[in-house]
Amino acid sequence: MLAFEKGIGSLVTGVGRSACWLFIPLMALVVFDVVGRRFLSLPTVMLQELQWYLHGMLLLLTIGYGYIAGVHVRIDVISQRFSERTRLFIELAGIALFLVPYIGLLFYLSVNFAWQSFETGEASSAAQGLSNRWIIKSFLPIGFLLILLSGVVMALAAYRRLLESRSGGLVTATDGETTR
Amino acid sequence: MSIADALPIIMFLTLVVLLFSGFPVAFVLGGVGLGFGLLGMVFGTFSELEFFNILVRIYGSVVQSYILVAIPMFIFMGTLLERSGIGDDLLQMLQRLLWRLPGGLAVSVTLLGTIMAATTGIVGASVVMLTLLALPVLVARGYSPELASGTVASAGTLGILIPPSIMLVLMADLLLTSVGKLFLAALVPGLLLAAVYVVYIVAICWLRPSIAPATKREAPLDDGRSLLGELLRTFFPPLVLIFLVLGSIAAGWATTTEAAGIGAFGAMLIALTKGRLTLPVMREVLEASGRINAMLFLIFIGATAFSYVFRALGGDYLVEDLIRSSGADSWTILAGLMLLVFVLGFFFEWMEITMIVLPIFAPIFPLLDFGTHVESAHVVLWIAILMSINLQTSFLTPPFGITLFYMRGCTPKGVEMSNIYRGVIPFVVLQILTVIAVAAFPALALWLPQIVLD
Repeated sequence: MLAFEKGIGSLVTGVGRSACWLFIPLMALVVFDVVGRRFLSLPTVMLQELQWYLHGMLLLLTIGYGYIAGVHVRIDVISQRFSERTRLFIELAGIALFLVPYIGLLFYLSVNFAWQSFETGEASSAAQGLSNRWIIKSFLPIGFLLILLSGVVMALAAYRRLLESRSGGLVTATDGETTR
Repeated sequence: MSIADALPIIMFLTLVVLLFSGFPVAFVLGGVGLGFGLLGMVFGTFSELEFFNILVRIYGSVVQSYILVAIPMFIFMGTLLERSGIGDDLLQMLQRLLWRLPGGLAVSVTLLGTIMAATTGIVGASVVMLTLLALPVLVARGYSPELASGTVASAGTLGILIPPSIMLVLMADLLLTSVGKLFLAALVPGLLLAAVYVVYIVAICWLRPSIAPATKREAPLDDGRSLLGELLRTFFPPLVLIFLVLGSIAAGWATTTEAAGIGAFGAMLIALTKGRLTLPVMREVLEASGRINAMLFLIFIGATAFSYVFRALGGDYLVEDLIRSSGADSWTILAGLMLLVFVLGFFFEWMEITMIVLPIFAPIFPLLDFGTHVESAHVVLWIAILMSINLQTSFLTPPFGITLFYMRGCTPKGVEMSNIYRGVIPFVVLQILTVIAVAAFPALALWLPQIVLD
């Protein structure tokens, strides 16, 4: 069980941390767009589309990692007074009632969304835009799946801590706190 | 009123209650959106097919947006600058220049915050940097913990108001107005707020010298030529960045996204030339930027579901009807909105307030009429700026001011949370006064975009 939790956790985290390197090609692309346009006659529409493609990938691949890393905003003004066990129960309930249904629905819908795009050979509406819209659209289900997996990891961790706290060995939660 | 009509109100109240559970805001937003979508289906006011529209909207407004690419670029730029060592140099320089002034060190910190604000668009980086860099020095020099922490907290949060700012990019996106216009409109009020801080610090230190002992003269300044050289060396990089980013947007040479990308590139060059950018540091910068970006856009993804369902259930008509039937005039509505934002600021941050409250109230902005005080064409811009200044308070007001949260982690010995809470009060008052000033004199916000863009 622990190995499963750790394995999935390092998969989500690994994908997220690697995706952070996309900042560099994104920045390079913006600079190239500004400078290159002055000297070469490049279709700027295509470059701009490539920019939001890259950012789309970047953000979709990092959200799950963000949850495990504990960066997502929480209003902890009241909950910080709860006991450790109560907070763990809230985390479990939140994952079951909010995260899984909402992100699960988005995952289910986005699979069709990307598939439709692939089947119809959807391309940019701009003449000089990129073809193959399905590529960026398939990052939607991938990203949502990563968030779902991060939910599984966090739920398993909360469950494990609940068991530990019952058997007396109280472990202080650190991962779940906001570290912004 | 039937239950179906009241659903949006119940939805909003449910959200507020559940947010306090401490579960991530973004997931609560999405979950509540989904739940009330299902309830709406039961009452026949929401259709199953509309869930697909939420996905399409997330794709369309979050992913497929060239303008929003500016946000990760500004985040990357800010995180890079924080690690570039630019702040240390600037603070030392400012200290040397201002040692004679009452509260000179505190003024240096405010000026450093202002310069950092004009180069970066995010807040976390500046607050942490100033707390680590300046708070220990202020306390060691005998400044009262209240003044020291109030100065650091207020200076660190200027970043979100003074352009470039990711908050203004997001607001422009939500209000369907141009980012450049919003940047220009925020510039004078932002600098005004910084100036008000400086005046307050000098005045209070002059009146009560005990809270701010005079600084001993720093390193000798007699060699005028070397000072000039150092001045240039220290101020040149940030000034070039400010000029590149803000200047190119104002002059219409570059889109916001282009300016942000160039800014990030410039910040990277500065960090490289200062020899700070080793591979491990680069990885940290990238991952920290990625996490901040993910945090911001996840709220966007959650808020999209919430506001879509809220509107589909008739929420915006409800808000409009409620405001119309109250018979309140435009000024009362504006004051009410400002009060709401201020109160919400005690519990929420700019991100939640901007992404939840703004979509709910934005449709009524153009309906407000301020006669000759503000031309109807500029009302939305003016209100956006008033809200932005007002949102500054959300960083500082306890119990949940994000700045206080950042500071909690890295305060030096001798500074307690209670010192910080007391220390920020005068600065919150100054922020409120600035909101009132811009409300009374709209030209403070509207003059610059008019002369530059028209």
